Amino acid sequence: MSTGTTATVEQNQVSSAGVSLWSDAYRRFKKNKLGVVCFFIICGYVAIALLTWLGLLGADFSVNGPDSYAAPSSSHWFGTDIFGRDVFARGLHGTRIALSIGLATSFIAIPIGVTLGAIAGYFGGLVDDFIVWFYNVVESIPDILKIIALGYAMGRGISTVYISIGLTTWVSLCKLIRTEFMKHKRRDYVQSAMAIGASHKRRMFLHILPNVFHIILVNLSVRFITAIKMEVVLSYLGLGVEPGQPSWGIMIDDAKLEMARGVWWGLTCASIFMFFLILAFTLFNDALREALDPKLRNK
Amino acid sequence: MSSVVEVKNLVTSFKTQEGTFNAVDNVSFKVDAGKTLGIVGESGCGKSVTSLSIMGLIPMPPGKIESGEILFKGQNLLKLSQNEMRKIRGNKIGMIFQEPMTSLNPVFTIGNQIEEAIKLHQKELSSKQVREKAIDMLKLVGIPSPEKRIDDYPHQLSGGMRQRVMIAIALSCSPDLLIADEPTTALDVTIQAQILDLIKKLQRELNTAMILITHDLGVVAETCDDVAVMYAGKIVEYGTADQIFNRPLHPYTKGLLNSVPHFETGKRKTRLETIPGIVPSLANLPQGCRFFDRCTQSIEQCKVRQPELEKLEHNVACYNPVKQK
Ligand SMILES: Nc1ncnc2c1ncn2[C@@H]1O[C@H](COP(=O)(O)OP(=O)(O)OP(=O)(O)O)[C@@H](O)[C@H]1O
Ligand SMILES: [Mg+2]
Repeated sequence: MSTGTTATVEQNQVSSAGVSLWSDAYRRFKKNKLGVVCFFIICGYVAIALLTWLGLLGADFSVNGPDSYAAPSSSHWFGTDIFGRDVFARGLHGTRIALSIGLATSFIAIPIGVTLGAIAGYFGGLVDDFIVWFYNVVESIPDILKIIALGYAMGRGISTVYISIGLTTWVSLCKLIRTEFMKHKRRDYVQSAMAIGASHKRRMFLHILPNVFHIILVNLSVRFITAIKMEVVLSYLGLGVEPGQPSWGIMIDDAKLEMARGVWWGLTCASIFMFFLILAFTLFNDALREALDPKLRNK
Repeated sequence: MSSVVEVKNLVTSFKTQEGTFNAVDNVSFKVDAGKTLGIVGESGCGKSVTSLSIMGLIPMPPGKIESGEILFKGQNLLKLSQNEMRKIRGNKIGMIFQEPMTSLNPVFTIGNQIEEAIKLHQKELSSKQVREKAIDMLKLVGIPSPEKRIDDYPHQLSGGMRQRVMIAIALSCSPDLLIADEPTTALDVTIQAQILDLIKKLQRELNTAMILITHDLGVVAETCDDVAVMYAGKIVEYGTADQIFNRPLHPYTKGLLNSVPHFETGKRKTRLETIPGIVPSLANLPQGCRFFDRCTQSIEQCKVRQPELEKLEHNVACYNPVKQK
């Protein structure tokens, strides 16, 4: 920042009032066409999830039909499964489950990661040592093992998926938040907040947190990708949602038997749904990261 | 009249890899209401550590206040709890920092930040009153069209404007003591003068005691009533501005004064004098006077024992003070 030139125009400086860093980021995000397209694809998925949840879309997903394993046709775009249920309708419902897992696990993991990371980074010292030790222990056990262990302990079901993924995937966010807090607590603006008499809690959550919020946002978007993949793995291993549920993981698991009979549509349908959602999230995430990158601000 | 702030024998240490050293060593001074004390000295001599000690903002660890008293209106601040200290900071003692460019939180409007300072200490005000007060403060520090500016973000303001905002924040609760740690170093010269005039004017209006830390002796001469000259953690000379500038006793003070251009004398010097040598490392101080290596008029005794602040014409820590012509 150059102080030399800015000061001379001090009195007559004009600016558009109220340009926050967020609106600046929004402006930059809008320029990334691919990112915007992906955002709308994600919105489409969200709409599907809401509509299926309200029973307005794919309502016949659990209605058994007369013909088992019917090939794709105009009435069943992706054919039917063993009970004659419409595969496409089940794929639509899978969206609801996938997104709910992303959301629910975020609700569990983000508060844990942010709180522990903030405390560790802000206070340092012994508290920091303890928290670092704690997440190192958690991290040293591979995620999949922890999730499986928790899964066995709690029994199969969607809430198991929420909790087990939520309780195990906060470490990376915690590390990021910790380093950011270490960096920010030494910044001048935090010192001036101290000088007006703000408490530790206020400084951590009111002054610093808004400055690192972009990290949480990017992490949220990454979490969806991980959570969706993880659900598939868990369901495949028989630890995910209950078998009757229309999740993509279950559909892929069922495909183990189906493929031998030449029934390819179940797997294809689930894969296509998953492919586009993960692709959209990945590209959206890149665009988001770019828009929020502090180094690119005011460009 | 009793002093607003009186620092007595303050010792603040830091523990580092090279060992523990006293960044501020046995420092005493006092400031009365409406008066300004200037603290001058080379980089690293402990000026900021002194002011942060008063604010209770020394990071602990590595810092530690070893001994001494900081009496603020008769109350020893070092004895207060964190909570009690928080009620004083920003309320009874305001502080202006060196870096206006980075001292404001980039994600909030300047209005938010002034309002926060007001709300933290004046809880009885409604949010409408708080906003009005914030606008008044912006007006007071000379920001044009404050009703509009209040919703600006820091990055929309120039350095001088931001420093005005910092002043508004520091003064928002009408503190009894204002600490300004190099408030104009980061600004350019024309703006520096404006900001100093503003601080001076507001200080006079509010009858605030002020500690002004600066490298700029010209600023000190213009604004300060008293001056403390610091060297390697110690005050080496302490007196009124007149005494320090016109009858300096310590060779270091004399050296500092000689390294400033004199415009009023008419004959322009071709070269500025500098003080040869460097400040000794605080972690490895000599046994005798800390200025010994650089001093032009040292005597035998200076090497052996450290001189303490003594009252001659005014306070000076030197065995062989400058002779007055
Ligand atoms: N947090 C800290 N940890 C370790 N040492 C510190 C810390 N803060 C200050 N010091 C040391 O204390 C000494 C005095 O520093 P201080 O910031 O008070 O200098 P200063 O007189 O304000 O200098 P400047 O004019 O550059 O601002 C320095 O040697 C510095 O290294
Ligand atoms: Mg300093």
